[in-house]
Amino acid sequence: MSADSASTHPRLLLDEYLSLPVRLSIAAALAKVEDVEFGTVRDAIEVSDPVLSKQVAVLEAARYVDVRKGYVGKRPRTWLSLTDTGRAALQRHLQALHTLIADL
Amino acid sequence: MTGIPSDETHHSLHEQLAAAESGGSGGERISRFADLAGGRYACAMAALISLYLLVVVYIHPQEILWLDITTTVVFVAGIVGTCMGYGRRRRASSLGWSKRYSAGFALSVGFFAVGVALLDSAEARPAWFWIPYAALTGLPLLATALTRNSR
Repeated sequence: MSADSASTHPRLLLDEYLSLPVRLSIAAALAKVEDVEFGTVRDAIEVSDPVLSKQVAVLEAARYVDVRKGYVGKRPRTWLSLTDTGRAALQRHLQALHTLIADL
Repeated sequence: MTGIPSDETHHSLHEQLAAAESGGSGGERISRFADLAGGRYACAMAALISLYLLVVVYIHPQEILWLDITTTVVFVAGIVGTCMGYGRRRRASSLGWSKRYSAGFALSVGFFAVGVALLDSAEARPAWFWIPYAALTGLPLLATALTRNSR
């Protein structure tokens, strides 16, 4: 096997930030929308506020998710969106997952 | 080093794929609701702008300043109120919504402006002309309401 083919093994394309299922769920949900309010994502993927908050912070640090805070009247509201970097990483990760599963 | 604990990186491939599919279907549900809410909002804006044009067509030639001002204030308040109501209730936007809505809104406002310019031009147009023209004015926003992103 050449060095080239070894370096492109799908296993190496798996993204370490997206390997945790809950984080992958968040990214996959955000990929379907332009932006979405925090509570709506929490309800859609059925996690608690602290879990979502913690995982979004990791994805934000990786620059995969953009977090925007604002107010509607006096109520604070947090908006989440997947960045272009996050979208590309998700696509690569899913492609690698499918390839690896097909090879099993 | 990424700082991510190693146990977080070793979930089974099938578990990861299931999580992605579940998250994706959750996202699709959110997107459908967002499309529905955005569609209703765009329809309301289309109706308001078309109606506003018809009212202007009827009122403007009478040259009654206070009536001109009153209708302008009422419709602008209606448009701003509709925008704010949508902003308060909005929980998500589907992919491409901002671009689709901006284009639809700009075109409708453009048709409205052309309509007002035609009204002020020297050549008078028959009353029947304005009904289809008002429909044309709302059409871009209506198209925005009915368009869904294919992604």
